Amino acid sequence: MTKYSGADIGFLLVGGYSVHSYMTAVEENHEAILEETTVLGDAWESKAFVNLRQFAMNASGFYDDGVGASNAALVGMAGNSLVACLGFEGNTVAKKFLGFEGPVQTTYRRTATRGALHKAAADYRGSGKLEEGLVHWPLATVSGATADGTRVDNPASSALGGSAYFQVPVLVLGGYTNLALKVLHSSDDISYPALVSATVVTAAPAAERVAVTGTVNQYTKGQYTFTGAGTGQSASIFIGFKRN
Amino acid sequence: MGRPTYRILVELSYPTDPAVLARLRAHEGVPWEERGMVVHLPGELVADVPEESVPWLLEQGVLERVTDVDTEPELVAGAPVVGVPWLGHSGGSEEPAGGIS
Repeated sequence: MTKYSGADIGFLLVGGYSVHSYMTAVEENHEAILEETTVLGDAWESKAFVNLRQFAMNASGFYDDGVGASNAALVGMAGNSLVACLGFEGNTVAKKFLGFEGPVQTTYRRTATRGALHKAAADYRGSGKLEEGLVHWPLATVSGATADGTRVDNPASSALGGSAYFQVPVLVLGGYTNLALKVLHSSDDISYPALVSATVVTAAPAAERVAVTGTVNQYTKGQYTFTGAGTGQSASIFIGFKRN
Repeated sequence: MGRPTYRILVELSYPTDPAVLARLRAHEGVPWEERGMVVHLPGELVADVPEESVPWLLEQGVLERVTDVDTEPELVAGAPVVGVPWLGHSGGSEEPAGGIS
Protein backbone atom coordinates (compact mmCIF):
# COMPACT_ATOMS: atom_id res chain seq x y z
CA MET A 1 0.00 0.00 0.00
CA THR A 2 1.31 3.41 -0.91
CA LYS A 3 -0.12 6.78 -0.05
CA TYR A 4 0.24 9.71 -2.39
CA SER A 5 0.10 13.48 -2.07
CA GLY A 6 0.03 16.59 -4.19
CA ALA A 7 3.74 16.15 -4.76
CA ASP A 8 2.93 12.97 -6.70
CA ILE A 9 0.76 14.70 -9.30
CA GLY A 10 2.97 14.04 -12.29
CA PHE A 11 0.88 15.79 -14.91
CA LEU A 12 -2.46 17.30 -15.73
CA LEU A 13 -2.88 17.51 -19.46
CA VAL A 14 -6.00 19.06 -20.95
CA GLY A 15 -6.37 19.30 -24.69
CA GLY A 16 -2.61 19.16 -25.11
CA TYR A 17 -1.91 21.84 -22.50
CA SER A 18 0.23 20.90 -19.51
CA VAL A 19 -1.28 22.77 -16.57
CA HIS A 20 -0.38 20.91 -13.39
CA SER A 21 2.36 23.39 -12.54
CA TYR A 22 -0.27 26.16 -12.30
CA MET A 23 -2.85 24.21 -10.33
CA THR A 24 -3.26 23.79 -6.60
CA ALA A 25 -6.14 21.32 -6.66
CA VAL A 26 -7.70 18.89 -9.07
CA GLU A 27 -10.67 16.66 -8.44
CA GLU A 28 -12.41 13.96 -10.39
CA ASN A 29 -15.48 12.03 -9.46
CA HIS A 30 -17.42 9.41 -11.29
CA GLU A 31 -20.74 7.95 -10.41
CA ALA A 32 -23.19 5.28 -11.40
CA ILE A 33 -26.60 6.46 -12.55
CA LEU A 34 -29.38 4.91 -10.52
CA GLU A 35 -33.14 4.83 -10.91
CA GLU A 36 -35.37 4.59 -7.91
CA THR A 37 -37.35 1.38 -7.87
CA THR A 38 -39.30 1.91 -4.68
CA VAL A 39 -42.91 0.80 -5.00
CA LEU A 40 -46.00 0.88 -2.84
CA GLY A 41 -45.66 -1.30 0.17
CA ASP A 42 -41.91 -0.82 0.46
CA ALA A 43 -40.66 0.42 3.80
CA TRP A 44 -37.26 1.44 2.46
CA GLU A 45 -36.19 3.11 -0.77
CA SER A 46 -34.60 0.88 -3.38
CA LYS A 47 -32.57 1.84 -6.45
CA ALA A 48 -31.25 0.03 -9.51
CA PHE A 49 -28.16 0.71 -11.55
CA VAL A 50 -29.19 1.55 -15.10
CA ASN A 51 -25.83 0.61 -16.65
CA LEU A 52 -24.85 4.22 -17.12
CA ARG A 53 -21.92 6.09 -15.62
CA GLN A 54 -20.73 9.68 -15.72
CA PHE A 55 -17.76 11.66 -14.52
CA ALA A 56 -16.90 15.23 -13.67
CA MET A 57 -13.60 16.99 -13.11
CA ASN A 58 -12.46 20.37 -11.90
CA ALA A 59 -9.11 22.04 -11.54
CA SER A 60 -8.16 25.25 -9.79
CA GLY A 61 -4.99 27.19 -9.24
CA PHE A 62 -3.14 30.29 -10.29
CA TYR A 63 -4.00 32.54 -13.20
CA ASP A 64 -1.03 32.84 -15.57
CA ASP A 65 -1.17 34.50 -18.98
CA GLY A 66 2.03 32.92 -20.32
CA VAL A 67 2.21 30.93 -23.55
CA GLY A 68 0.67 27.53 -22.88
CA ALA A 69 -0.11 28.48 -19.27
CA SER A 70 -3.34 28.19 -17.30
CA ASN A 71 -5.23 31.01 -18.97
CA ALA A 72 -4.38 29.80 -22.47
CA ALA A 73 -5.48 26.30 -21.51
CA LEU A 74 -8.80 27.35 -20.05
CA VAL A 75 -10.02 30.57 -21.67
CA GLY A 76 -12.28 30.20 -24.65
CA MET A 77 -12.60 26.46 -24.10
CA ALA A 78 -16.11 26.43 -22.60
CA GLY A 79 -18.23 24.03 -24.59
CA ASN A 80 -15.23 22.28 -26.10
CA SER A 81 -14.77 18.54 -25.77
CA LEU A 82 -11.18 17.82 -24.80
CA VAL A 83 -8.96 14.84 -24.06
CA ALA A 84 -7.49 15.00 -20.56
CA CYS A 85 -4.97 12.94 -18.60
CA LEU A 86 -4.19 13.13 -14.90
CA GLY A 87 -1.14 11.47 -13.40
CA PHE A 88 -2.07 11.06 -9.76
CA GLU A 89 0.63 8.50 -8.88
CA GLY A 90 3.55 10.32 -10.44
CA ASN A 91 5.17 10.62 -13.83
CA THR A 92 6.76 7.19 -14.21
CA VAL A 93 6.27 4.34 -16.68
CA ALA A 94 3.65 1.82 -15.51
CA LYS A 95 2.16 4.16 -12.90
CA LYS A 96 -1.59 4.71 -13.09
CA PHE A 97 -3.11 7.72 -14.80
CA LEU A 98 -6.70 8.78 -15.42
CA GLY A 99 -7.74 9.22 -19.02
CA PHE A 100 -10.77 11.38 -19.72
CA GLU A 101 -12.19 10.61 -23.16
CA GLY A 102 -14.07 13.80 -23.82
CA PRO A 103 -14.69 16.11 -20.88
CA VAL A 104 -16.59 19.21 -21.90
CA GLN A 105 -15.48 22.37 -20.16
CA THR A 106 -18.56 23.96 -18.66
CA THR A 107 -17.11 26.88 -16.74
CA TYR A 108 -13.99 29.00 -16.46
CA ARG A 109 -13.61 31.28 -13.47
CA ARG A 110 -10.99 33.97 -12.92
CA THR A 111 -10.88 35.38 -9.41
CA ALA A 112 -9.10 38.55 -8.29
CA THR A 113 -8.86 39.25 -4.58
CA ARG A 114 -7.13 42.07 -2.69
CA GLY A 115 -3.86 40.89 -1.26
CA ALA A 116 -3.78 37.62 -3.22
CA LEU A 117 -2.64 36.32 -6.55
CA HIS A 118 -5.29 35.92 -9.23
CA LYS A 119 -6.83 32.48 -9.40
CA ALA A 120 -8.18 30.40 -12.29
CA ALA A 121 -10.51 27.42 -12.18
CA ALA A 122 -12.45 25.27 -14.62
CA ASP A 123 -15.15 22.63 -14.39
CA TYR A 124 -15.62 19.76 -16.79
CA ARG A 125 -18.53 17.40 -17.27
CA GLY A 126 -17.99 13.96 -18.68
CA SER A 127 -18.84 13.04 -22.24
CA GLY A 128 -17.43 9.60 -22.84
CA LYS A 129 -15.31 7.38 -20.68
CA LEU A 130 -13.15 7.89 -17.64
CA GLU A 131 -10.45 5.24 -17.77
CA GLU A 132 -7.57 4.19 -15.55
CA GLY A 133 -4.55 3.35 -17.68
CA LEU A 134 -0.81 3.05 -17.27
CA VAL A 135 1.81 5.61 -18.21
CA HIS A 136 3.79 4.44 -21.26
CA TRP A 137 5.79 7.60 -21.92
CA PRO A 138 6.01 9.99 -18.96
CA LEU A 139 5.47 13.64 -19.75
CA ALA A 140 8.95 14.72 -20.84
CA THR A 141 10.87 16.66 -23.44
CA VAL A 142 12.41 14.55 -26.19
CA SER A 143 14.87 15.67 -28.81
CA GLY A 144 16.16 12.56 -30.56
CA ALA A 145 14.86 11.55 -33.96
CA THR A 146 13.08 8.50 -32.56
CA ALA A 147 13.03 6.34 -29.47
CA ASP A 148 11.05 3.66 -27.71
CA GLY A 149 9.95 3.80 -24.10
CA THR A 150 10.36 1.30 -21.34
CA ARG A 151 8.15 -1.74 -21.79
CA VAL A 152 5.10 -2.31 -19.61
CA ASP A 153 4.74 -5.96 -18.65
CA ASN A 154 1.17 -7.14 -18.20
CA PRO A 155 0.78 -10.61 -16.68
CA ALA A 156 -0.79 -11.87 -19.92
CA SER A 157 -2.23 -10.77 -23.22
CA SER A 158 -5.81 -9.57 -23.38
CA ALA A 159 -8.47 -9.77 -26.07
CA LEU A 160 -10.66 -6.72 -25.54
CA GLY A 161 -8.58 -3.96 -27.05
CA GLY A 162 -7.82 -0.73 -25.24
CA SER A 163 -7.39 3.01 -25.52
CA ALA A 164 -4.25 5.04 -26.12
CA TYR A 165 -3.88 8.62 -24.94
CA PHE A 166 -1.45 10.95 -26.68
CA GLN A 167 -0.63 14.51 -25.60
CA VAL A 168 1.84 16.97 -27.11
CA PRO A 169 2.10 20.27 -25.18
CA VAL A 170 5.17 21.55 -27.04
CA LEU A 171 6.48 20.79 -30.53
CA VAL A 172 9.44 22.19 -32.44
CA LEU A 173 9.75 20.30 -35.72
CA GLY A 174 13.09 21.81 -36.73
CA GLY A 175 12.42 21.00 -40.37
CA TYR A 176 10.92 17.56 -39.79
CA THR A 177 7.56 16.89 -41.41
CA ASN A 178 5.67 15.75 -38.33
CA LEU A 179 5.80 13.85 -35.07
CA ALA A 180 4.39 10.31 -34.96
CA LEU A 181 3.37 8.72 -31.65
CA LYS A 182 2.57 5.04 -31.26
CA VAL A 183 1.98 2.23 -28.83
CA LEU A 184 3.69 -1.05 -29.75
CA HIS A 185 2.97 -4.50 -28.33
CA SER A 186 4.64 -7.91 -28.22
CA SER A 187 4.05 -11.49 -27.16
CA ASP A 188 7.72 -12.34 -26.66
CA ASP A 189 9.45 -9.01 -25.96
CA ILE A 190 11.45 -9.61 -29.13
CA SER A 191 9.29 -8.44 -32.05
CA TYR A 192 7.07 -5.40 -31.63
CA PRO A 193 4.31 -4.60 -34.15
CA ALA A 194 2.53 -1.26 -33.93
CA LEU A 195 -0.70 -1.52 -31.94
CA VAL A 196 -2.17 1.96 -32.24
CA SER A 197 -1.01 5.28 -33.68
CA ALA A 198 -1.96 8.88 -33.12
CA THR A 199 -2.74 11.13 -36.01
CA VAL A 200 0.62 12.62 -36.91
CA VAL A 201 1.21 15.88 -35.08
CA THR A 202 2.25 19.02 -36.93
CA ALA A 203 1.53 21.64 -34.27
CA ALA A 204 1.16 21.85 -30.50
CA PRO A 205 -0.82 21.71 -28.34
CA ALA A 206 -2.34 18.45 -29.54
CA ALA A 207 -4.21 15.64 -27.85
CA GLU A 208 -5.96 12.50 -29.01
CA ARG A 209 -7.50 9.33 -27.67
CA VAL A 210 -7.44 6.36 -30.03
CA ALA A 211 -9.31 3.15 -29.27
CA VAL A 212 -8.16 -0.22 -30.56
CA THR A 213 -10.00 -3.54 -30.64
CA GLY A 214 -8.83 -7.13 -30.45
CA THR A 215 -5.71 -8.66 -29.00
CA VAL A 216 -3.30 -6.61 -26.93
CA ASN A 217 -0.17 -8.63 -26.30
CA GLN A 218 1.56 -9.00 -22.95
CA TYR A 219 4.20 -6.31 -23.45
CA THR A 220 3.39 -2.75 -24.51
CA LYS A 221 5.50 0.38 -24.93
CA GLY A 222 5.33 3.89 -26.30
CA GLN A 223 7.32 5.22 -29.23
CA TYR A 224 7.86 8.59 -30.86
CA THR A 225 9.39 9.44 -34.22
CA PHE A 226 10.09 12.70 -35.97
CA THR A 227 9.29 11.92 -39.60
CA GLY A 228 11.46 13.42 -42.30
CA ALA A 229 14.70 15.26 -41.74
CA GLY A 230 15.79 18.32 -39.87
CA THR A 231 17.78 19.63 -36.93
CA GLY A 232 17.00 21.12 -33.56
CA GLN A 233 13.73 19.21 -33.13
CA SER A 234 12.16 18.75 -29.72
CA ALA A 235 8.80 18.00 -28.21
CA SER A 236 7.10 17.52 -24.90
CA ILE A 237 5.09 14.32 -25.13
CA PHE A 238 2.96 11.94 -23.07
CA ILE A 239 1.71 8.48 -24.03
CA GLY A 240 -0.63 6.39 -21.93
CA PHE A 241 -2.49 3.17 -22.59
CA LYS A 242 -5.55 1.60 -21.00
CA ARG A 243 -5.90 -2.13 -21.56
CA ASN A 244 -9.54 -3.28 -21.54
CA MET B 1 15.97 -23.44 -49.82
CA GLY B 2 16.45 -20.05 -48.16
CA ARG B 3 14.56 -18.76 -45.19
CA PRO B 4 10.84 -18.16 -45.73
CA THR B 5 9.91 -14.74 -46.96
CA TYR B 6 7.15 -12.70 -45.37
CA ARG B 7 5.28 -9.57 -46.34
CA ILE B 8 4.88 -7.00 -43.59
CA LEU B 9 1.22 -6.08 -43.07
CA VAL B 10 1.57 -3.99 -39.89
CA GLU B 11 4.59 -1.86 -39.03
CA LEU B 12 7.02 -4.13 -37.19
CA SER B 13 10.24 -3.72 -35.19
CA TYR B 14 12.60 -6.53 -34.21
CA PRO B 15 16.29 -7.19 -33.51
CA THR B 16 18.47 -9.03 -36.02
CA ASP B 17 21.78 -9.27 -34.16
CA PRO B 18 22.29 -12.98 -33.28
CA ALA B 19 24.00 -12.07 -30.02
CA VAL B 20 21.07 -9.89 -28.96
CA LEU B 21 18.59 -12.59 -29.96
CA ALA B 22 20.52 -15.15 -27.93
CA ARG B 23 20.38 -12.92 -24.88
CA LEU B 24 16.65 -12.31 -25.33
CA ARG B 25 16.00 -16.03 -25.78
CA ALA B 26 17.81 -16.57 -22.51
CA HIS B 27 15.34 -14.10 -20.95
CA GLU B 28 18.15 -11.69 -20.27
CA GLY B 29 17.04 -8.12 -19.96
CA VAL B 30 18.49 -6.26 -22.93
CA PRO B 31 18.10 -2.47 -22.88
CA TRP B 32 16.18 -1.20 -25.89
CA GLU B 33 19.06 0.94 -27.09
CA GLU B 34 21.30 -2.15 -27.23
CA ARG B 35 18.88 -4.24 -29.25
CA GLY B 36 19.61 -2.69 -32.64
CA MET B 37 15.95 -2.87 -33.59
CA VAL B 38 15.05 -2.52 -37.23
CA VAL B 39 11.68 -1.26 -38.35
CA HIS B 40 9.74 -2.43 -41.40
CA LEU B 41 6.69 -0.79 -42.88
CA PRO B 42 3.66 -2.43 -44.49
CA GLY B 43 4.40 -3.89 -47.90
CA GLU B 44 8.05 -4.68 -47.30
CA LEU B 45 9.37 -8.22 -47.82
CA VAL B 46 11.60 -9.68 -45.14
CA ALA B 47 13.31 -12.98 -44.34
CA ASP B 48 14.96 -12.22 -41.02
CA VAL B 49 12.03 -12.13 -38.61
CA PRO B 50 13.02 -13.88 -35.35
CA GLU B 51 11.71 -17.40 -35.76
CA GLU B 52 9.98 -17.58 -32.38
CA SER B 53 7.94 -14.51 -33.28
CA VAL B 54 6.70 -15.81 -36.61
CA PRO B 55 3.78 -17.97 -35.36
CA TRP B 56 2.09 -15.24 -33.34
CA LEU B 57 2.84 -12.55 -35.90
CA LEU B 58 1.18 -14.70 -38.58
CA GLU B 59 -1.76 -15.47 -36.31
CA GLN B 60 -2.30 -11.80 -35.53
CA GLY B 61 -2.06 -10.71 -39.14
CA VAL B 62 1.16 -8.76 -38.78
CA LEU B 63 2.89 -10.90 -41.42
CA GLU B 64 1.84 -13.05 -44.33
CA ARG B 65 3.98 -15.70 -45.92
CA VAL B 66 4.86 -14.87 -49.51
CA THR B 67 3.99 -17.78 -51.75
CA ASP B 68 2.98 -16.08 -54.95
CA VAL B 69 6.34 -14.84 -56.16
CA ASP B 70 7.94 -16.50 -59.19
CA THR B 71 11.29 -14.96 -58.62
CA GLU B 72 13.31 -14.16 -55.55
CA PRO B 73 11.68 -11.11 -53.99
CA GLU B 74 13.68 -8.02 -53.26
CA LEU B 75 14.20 -8.03 -49.53
CA VAL B 76 14.27 -4.79 -47.63
CA ALA B 77 16.72 -4.09 -44.88
CA GLY B 78 15.04 -2.34 -42.00
CA ALA B 79 16.28 0.91 -40.58
CA PRO B 80 17.40 1.07 -36.97
CA VAL B 81 14.63 2.38 -34.76
CA VAL B 82 16.80 4.46 -32.50
CA GLY B 83 18.34 7.60 -33.90
CA VAL B 84 17.35 7.25 -37.51
CA PRO B 85 14.28 8.79 -39.11
CA TRP B 86 12.02 6.53 -41.09
CA LEU B 87 12.37 8.32 -44.38
CA GLY B 88 13.99 6.15 -46.97
CA HIS B 89 11.85 3.10 -46.44
CA SER B 90 10.58 1.60 -49.63
CA GLY B 91 7.34 0.45 -48.06
CA GLY B 92 4.11 2.28 -47.57
CA SER B 93 3.15 4.33 -44.58
CA GLU B 94 0.27 3.87 -42.19
CA GLU B 95 0.40 7.49 -41.20
CA PRO B 96 -2.74 9.38 -42.07
CA ALA B 97 -2.51 12.77 -43.67
CA GLY B 98 -2.92 15.92 -41.69
CA GLY B 99 -2.18 16.70 -38.09
CA ILE B 100 -3.99 17.00 -34.83
CA SER B 101 -5.27 20.41 -34.01
